Amino acid sequence: MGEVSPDLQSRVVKFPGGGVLVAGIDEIFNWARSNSMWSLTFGLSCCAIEMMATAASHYDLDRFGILFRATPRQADVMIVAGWVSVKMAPFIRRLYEQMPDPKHVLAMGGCACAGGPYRDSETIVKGVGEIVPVDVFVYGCPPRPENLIHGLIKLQERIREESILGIKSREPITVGG
Amino acid sequence: MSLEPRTDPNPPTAGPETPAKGPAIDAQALHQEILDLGTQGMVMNMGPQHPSTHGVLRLILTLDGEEVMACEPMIGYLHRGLEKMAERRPYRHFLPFTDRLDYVCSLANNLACAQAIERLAGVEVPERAQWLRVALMELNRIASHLLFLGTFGTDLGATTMLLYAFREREEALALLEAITGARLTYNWIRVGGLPDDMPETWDEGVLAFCDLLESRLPEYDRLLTDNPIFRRRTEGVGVVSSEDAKAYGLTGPTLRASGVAYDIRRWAPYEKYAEIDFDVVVLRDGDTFARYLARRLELEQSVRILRQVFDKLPEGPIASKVGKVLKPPPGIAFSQVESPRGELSFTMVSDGSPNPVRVHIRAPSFANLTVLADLVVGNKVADVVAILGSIDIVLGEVDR
Amino acid sequence: MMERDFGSALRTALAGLPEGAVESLEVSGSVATLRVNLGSLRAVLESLKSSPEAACDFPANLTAYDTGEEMFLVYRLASIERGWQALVLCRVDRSEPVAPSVTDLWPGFNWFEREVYDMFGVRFEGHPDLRRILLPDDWEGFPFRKDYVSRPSGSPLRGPQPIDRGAQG
Repeated sequence: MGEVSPDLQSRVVKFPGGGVLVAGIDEIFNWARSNSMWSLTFGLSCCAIEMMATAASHYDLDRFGILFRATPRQADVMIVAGWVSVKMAPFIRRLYEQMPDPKHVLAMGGCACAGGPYRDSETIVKGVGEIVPVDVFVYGCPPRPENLIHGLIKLQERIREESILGIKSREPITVGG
Repeated sequence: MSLEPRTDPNPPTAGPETPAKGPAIDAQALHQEILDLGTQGMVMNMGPQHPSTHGVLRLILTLDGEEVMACEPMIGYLHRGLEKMAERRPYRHFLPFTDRLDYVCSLANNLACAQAIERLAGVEVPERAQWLRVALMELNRIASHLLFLGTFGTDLGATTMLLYAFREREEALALLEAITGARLTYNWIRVGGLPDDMPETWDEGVLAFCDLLESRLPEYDRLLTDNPIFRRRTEGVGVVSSEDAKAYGLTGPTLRASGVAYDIRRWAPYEKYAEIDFDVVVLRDGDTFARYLARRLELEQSVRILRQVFDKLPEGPIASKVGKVLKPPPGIAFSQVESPRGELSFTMVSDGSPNPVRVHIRAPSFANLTVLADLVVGNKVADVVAILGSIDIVLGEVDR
Repeated sequence: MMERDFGSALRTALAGLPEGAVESLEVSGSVATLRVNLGSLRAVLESLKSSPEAACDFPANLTAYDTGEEMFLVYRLASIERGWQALVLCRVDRSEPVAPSVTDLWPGFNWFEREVYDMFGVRFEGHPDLRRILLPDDWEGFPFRKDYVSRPSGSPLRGPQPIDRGAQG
């Protein structure tokens, strides 16, 4: 499944009375950030039901440290699950801007990635990437919970390569396409 | 806490060292003055992104403190123009889009669409397909009501219910995946029948699931139905009388909780419902608890129906032959299906060409939502969430 | 049996209306299809609702359709007690579509009328709050009309989006 957390145990220097862990700042911050990705409850439509199923008892996102926050001020990740309509687009942009840095966007489902089956509808924005910068595209209609977890793990790996100086990789990851 | 001026048993005596007091304040008169001022009300926006609006619904509430003075629901945040997209395609090519209307119960939408095309084109459905359609519908109804139980509990703060309900829902979804191949958007009804027969031991799986669900129902009752906090929050909240319920065009468990016995499965039977023995759940109170209880009791009725289907399932073809190009004769036809939310109806107009002139989707959530604006006035903000949850809407079909 | 009872109940209910109000009436099973002219639409709907014989008091559906040459309103009223329903079709003027509102008879039709206005441009006289419901408030045109032309706005945050014609199945 991949590394869930880097091997920090081996870097602990033991002293009587305790130990000291020496690691780079980036490594510590990224370890903390990738293992507690708090996601904004932003289910728009059908993919939201699968997102709920992924978070619920059978598939369980809580074991990855992912829980859902209702307010964007406390969220790190925005999982856009569902199609984006023209009426909703300004709100998505505003919610993205309300999230504090460092933030990430995961586009879940064909509709959020590229408009999905509604490419010949004039009220649908062809992918949420036209409004906000997307880090991970998870394709599917709707993507299976395993697929979504795969996308979230890829996002965790992306976060572990970040730097607190703020320089982020721009190339989005595609999963399930 | 009384506002009457209290008599002080030890009044301070006025002496040379005590400063002169100002005029006495009449607390009661002051309070009445504040009440008479009247308030404009604070306008609060709820949504479109909100954990309890079941999708993207925006409610503009005008509040007087905690009490709602007015509510204006705004919808359209999920509008795709599906009905317009149907006009650009042949009739059967629209079926996959219908999954995404009421995405919690996709098979109901598929069935309503296929039924409308079948009535328009005069296509018969073989017996075995009709029985299996009933089984699929009821299994989907169970999955939908389990989702309702989970999300309604979460809206009121009883988040444990979500985890328990989804545990059983995963079992139902596994069964549906075994026959249709998909977990949520099945697209498993075709004009004239079904695409394929059921797998070999599917009926045993469904009956085992029925037993499992019945064994878990007492758990749900312990968590919600018999929970005193849940009862206090839902009983007497948002009462809809039966006359109002009919005037607003409510359907489904929302209507039946107000005492009106209108269930399309009994009123205008389709598929094989006329040959199945089940009860229509009707409650008298019309409050939020009754709307919740109606769905909780319908779970038992769906289990009852599923058990009868496999006793009576005949052998035979699974679909009747429909030509490559379907050109129904000119006319207008409509279908009526009892989805978990109410009366789902497709109205189709044909002019003899391969594409329809018009497809209209009468979504039960659209009609049920109209009552919200008048129902929440006078209630507290927390009750708004309870009432909205009990109406059980899915915004995919409200906005289409 | 049901057909005969329903047919006679409808004729009784509509007896008081002027000549030519109901252009045609067909009953098939438990569904009656009536074609009425616009001037008597309101009277027909009121009679169907208030008559004790027909008792069609449940507002099941309200929609419209446009063939390119004609535009029709489609009402479906059901009688829960009697077990029958009436489909009422009424032609409206395509160039200037106006119709009487029935929100005072059935508050449930409030949003249905707003949707028909939003998509077809039919103005319902007497509606308390006739404005767009599904499309954004500043949308131009009525999309479900056959003469609607989509003009992409060029901005993903507002206005009509370009249609990908190659995506039609």
